[in-house]
Amino acid sequence: MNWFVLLSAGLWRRPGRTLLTTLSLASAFLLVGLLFPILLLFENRGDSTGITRLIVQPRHSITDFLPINHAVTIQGVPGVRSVSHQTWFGGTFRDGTDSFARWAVPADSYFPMHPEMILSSAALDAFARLRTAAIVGQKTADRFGLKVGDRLTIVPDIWPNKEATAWEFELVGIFDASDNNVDLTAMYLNHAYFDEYRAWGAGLVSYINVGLESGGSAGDISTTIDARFANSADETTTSSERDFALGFAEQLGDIGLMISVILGAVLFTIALVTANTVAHGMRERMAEFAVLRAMGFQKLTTQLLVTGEALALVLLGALPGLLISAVLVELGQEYVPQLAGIDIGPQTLTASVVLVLVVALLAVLQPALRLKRLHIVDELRKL
Amino acid sequence: MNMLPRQILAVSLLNLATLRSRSGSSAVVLTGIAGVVFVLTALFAMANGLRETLQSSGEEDRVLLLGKGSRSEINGSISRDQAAIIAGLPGIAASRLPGTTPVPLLSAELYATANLPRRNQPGRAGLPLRGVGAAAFGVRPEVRMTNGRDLLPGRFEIIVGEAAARMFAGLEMGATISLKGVDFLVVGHFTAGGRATESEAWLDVNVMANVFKRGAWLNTIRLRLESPESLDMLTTAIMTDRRLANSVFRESDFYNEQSESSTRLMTIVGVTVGIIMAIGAIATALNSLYSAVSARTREIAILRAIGFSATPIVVSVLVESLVLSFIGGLLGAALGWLVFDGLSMTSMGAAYSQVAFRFAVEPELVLSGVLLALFIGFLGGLLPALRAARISVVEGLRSAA
Amino acid sequence: MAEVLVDVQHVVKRYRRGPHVINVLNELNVQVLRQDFVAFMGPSGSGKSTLLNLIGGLDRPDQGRVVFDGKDITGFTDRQLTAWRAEYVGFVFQSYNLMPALSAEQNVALPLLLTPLGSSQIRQRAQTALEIVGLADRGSHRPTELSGGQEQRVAIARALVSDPQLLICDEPTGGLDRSTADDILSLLDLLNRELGKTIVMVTHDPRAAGFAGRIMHMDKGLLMESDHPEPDQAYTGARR
Repeated sequence: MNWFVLLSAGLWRRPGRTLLTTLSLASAFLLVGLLFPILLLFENRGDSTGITRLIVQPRHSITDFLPINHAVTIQGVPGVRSVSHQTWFGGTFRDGTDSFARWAVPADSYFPMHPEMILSSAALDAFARLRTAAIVGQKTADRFGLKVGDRLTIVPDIWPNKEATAWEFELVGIFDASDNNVDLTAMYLNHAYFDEYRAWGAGLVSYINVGLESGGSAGDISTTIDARFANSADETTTSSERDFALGFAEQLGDIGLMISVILGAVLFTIALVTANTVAHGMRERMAEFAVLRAMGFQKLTTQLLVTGEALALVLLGALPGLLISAVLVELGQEYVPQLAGIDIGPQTLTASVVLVLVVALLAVLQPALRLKRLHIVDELRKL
Repeated sequence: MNMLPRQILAVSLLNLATLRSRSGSSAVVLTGIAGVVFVLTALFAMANGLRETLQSSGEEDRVLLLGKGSRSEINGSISRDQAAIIAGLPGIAASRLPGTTPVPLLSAELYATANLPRRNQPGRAGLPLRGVGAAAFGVRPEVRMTNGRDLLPGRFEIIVGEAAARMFAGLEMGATISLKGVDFLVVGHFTAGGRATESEAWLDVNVMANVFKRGAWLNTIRLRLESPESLDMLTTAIMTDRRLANSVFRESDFYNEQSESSTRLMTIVGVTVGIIMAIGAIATALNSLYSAVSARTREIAILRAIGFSATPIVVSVLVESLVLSFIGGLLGAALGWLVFDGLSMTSMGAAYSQVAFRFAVEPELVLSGVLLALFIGFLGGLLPALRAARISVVEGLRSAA
Repeated sequence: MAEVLVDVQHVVKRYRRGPHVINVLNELNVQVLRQDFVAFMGPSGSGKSTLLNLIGGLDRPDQGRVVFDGKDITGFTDRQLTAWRAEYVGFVFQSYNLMPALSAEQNVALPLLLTPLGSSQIRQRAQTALEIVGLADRGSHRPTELSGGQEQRVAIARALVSDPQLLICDEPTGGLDRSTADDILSLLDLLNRELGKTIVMVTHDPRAAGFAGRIMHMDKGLLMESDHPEPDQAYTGARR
């Protein structure tokens, strides 16, 4: 027998009620675990700690291009270790369903800058040597049943081929990834080949990738790069890769508002459900508490007991809820690579702990008051 | 047996009368369900609003022509020559001004996006830019100037849709914006009845071709059909002409597709959040109703002892649950309507540009919300109702009131 | 060691119902000697339960004093009174008041949480208490699995477990059938004779007279004559 047993007794007096409350709370905390990290992601925009790569995009429009010469200028910016580029190829593969991203990239600089793409050295060699080489990610290979050596035909939309109605490539490798941020559905083709045969736009690229020396300030370097091209015909916007992805997500709508609405409703429900269950339990157990007081338990002790029960109750719901949300996010990232970067980190955990404490304390305010006013004799008389 | 309806009514009313003693738990059920309906109303009003704006933007008698294999206005792969050829094809409506030769209602346009700072939010978003000629208004009778004047050809001028002017900073009358290093003066605002077109800004097509270095390429051709049925005629003519290789879309179909992909994500999120919250609400309702039945044990035993059958007892519990959820659902939907209906927001429209829309809380949405609430209430009340039926008279009479 | 354990001096206890004030106890004096087994009997409203509450430190008199083993507990703060009860008093109630979610042994062990004992010592003491009341093999049962008489015995074990000097019993045999009630009364008698516990009981049970050492009748807040008077007993009470 110890204090913990006494505390549990309070919770398990009505196991059904405790379990159902746990279910309500778990579903609420599940939403907190899913939505709060997303909210944080948008709040933490511009955070430049630990950034090793930048993306330089045309300032004014997603439909614009940058001249490849920008890369030379950027290479000269202090703090820049390497530069590469990528160009959106587009077009249609087979019947156009299950579409995936297609990029033209330079063999020598792109893959060294993206070590999280796992590619055999044989494939890398082949990509460099063979002009019509292409590589695809594991997911696309699986989806279409592609093997090394297959021919891939892409019907162009933006980039007609000077000499043919379609572009033909040879699959020389299938890449895997060492982290969640890599798009395993993408296809990469040789920029040199693409540049030579495209009907227009020679020397134009979609984005310039920048690899940074360690210890530099990503924010400062970004500003410097953009300053170099300010007021030119091809102005740039440089950002970390994560902020770049966020920029797309922001286009979906005022996500912050919607998440706040949902979280607000959820938090309100959590507080109400907890307070109600605790209050209900109290009402039924006043006599039990009177007996404890008669036995010699101090008033404060009973109040602490109720507080402990409330905390345990909320935790009983919070822990599974948060756990399941972490699992769901892991699973979700399999299917939606854009979700990468969302996990339950220290901020979310801290917020959850605070939430648990606040909810439990609010829930025991009234019961604690009742315990304060508990008149032993009156309560016992009611039996 | 004809006593049964009266029994049911009597017990249900009795139950509802004692509701006040269970006000705490009842309030929690109500709020939980109101919360679910409120959130879902918000999310689906958002999806509905976007869908409505996009869908209403496409007309049945207008056709959108893109470059071969293109599915988006972003790809500029129509040549001016092609445009000239298309203008002569059958099925296209023509404007008939008295005393002049009819001019085909066809607008050859450029399309791009410009990243501009938002008015009420941080960050930048894509403003759709359209390079238009004189025919643009003719092809789009729903567009009217509201302020200032139309573009003059060859000038560095821009006219802005009302929704775009609200969305982005710096698009007021007389303002200047810089595109590709060139200043453009805002000389007018236009309206398009809330359609997606109102989220766009228009420039002179030739000026745009120059500044944006498009050469002789165009992005889209928009034309008015003589009648919605003329589409087949036009399509056949295009397919059989080997100089042309364009993708042909009825404008209404094109926008329907746009709206589907944009709203799909919202719908998925809505359904996911909805299911999770509904599970929580059902658990809350179960909890509350089990408590209610437990509190009424003695009362139920007395009723049974008097001679009421199990059915009215069961029904009374369900009635309690359904009444609470109905009120909760109504409350949530009403709150959702109050807060969200008509709220402006922007989202991703076509081709990475922003489209402005308003949240639309329709009667069907309210009805769905209330039905969902009743469903939750039913599920939450069923098991407790069955337990109420199983209360043994002897045990019940013995239990504390 | 003084003979008088509990000295109730001129206590007045009033009860308010709306505008009416009733004197439940009116200048009552009574003494309980060490190792007494006293039963207070009388009709409802006679004030016997109120007196019990005062003796057990569950309530304070409006006037007068309650002195326990030479110490005046009337002036104790709530905190002091609570601590005093933990050390000196064990309670047995009519409706047992066991916690349904705890086993019998856990229920018995409850008061020991207030002591500095470790969990194995707690366990041992609880087992011993259960043995004393004859339920050593029922330690793991929940109250719902026990009969009324067994529940009351668990309650008695709980009242015993921290070895208090005083046992306060409020209608301990109410609701029990005749033979079970007798078992309980003889158990209390055993505790009094063999363990030296001072027992103060309030009861309606006429058979209590056969077990208690002293009977005091009460009516309208006053003490009546007592049965089985002991020659060396020192008590005063207002006589009718």
